Amino acid sequence: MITKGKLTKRMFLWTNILLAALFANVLLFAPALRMGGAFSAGLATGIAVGWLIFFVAGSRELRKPGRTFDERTVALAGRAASFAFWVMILALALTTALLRSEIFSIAIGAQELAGLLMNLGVVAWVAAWALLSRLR
Amino acid sequence: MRNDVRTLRQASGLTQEELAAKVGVSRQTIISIEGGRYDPSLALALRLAHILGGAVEEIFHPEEFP
Repeated sequence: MITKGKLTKRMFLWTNILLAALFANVLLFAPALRMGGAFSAGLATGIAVGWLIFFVAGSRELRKPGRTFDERTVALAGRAASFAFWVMILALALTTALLRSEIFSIAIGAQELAGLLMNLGVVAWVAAWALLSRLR
Repeated sequence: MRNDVRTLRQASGLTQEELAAKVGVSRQTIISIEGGRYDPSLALALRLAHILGGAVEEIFHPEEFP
């Protein structure tokens, strides 16, 4: 997807196929796995929105190379990913300690915790991207 | 990193958009380079030097080498 500043037609095509397969898998297997209607719809919508953003940005990049994914964009994406990674590690460390604490006695299901951490990672990445793109 | 990209671009009569198109990056990247907030890669610095008509070391001035 975001590589060293060069998106080829082949890479664009394969990424679209991969995202289409992901989307189709959610639609096909979500009912069989009984993940719940709201969760499955949210997951499918998230993948569809990501796919749409990639399709629009990728099409623009193929028409005018370097205008959407250039080396600065790649650097920003890398820094944002690094920030999101450490935010998630911190959150995992804190929740691990808090969930074991008998004083706090926090009760949270594994499914809620996994969902919260995943959303935290995505939000941290987007927030870091937005902040860094203003600063750099 | 301090640089003379803005001065040389204006002397060449290029807009930020035109320079961005010539070196194959976004206009935002040119804005960041001119503002000294983003240090370009060697490949981009060489392309900028080629378009702006100067040597890399004449355009970019790292703080360690005033």
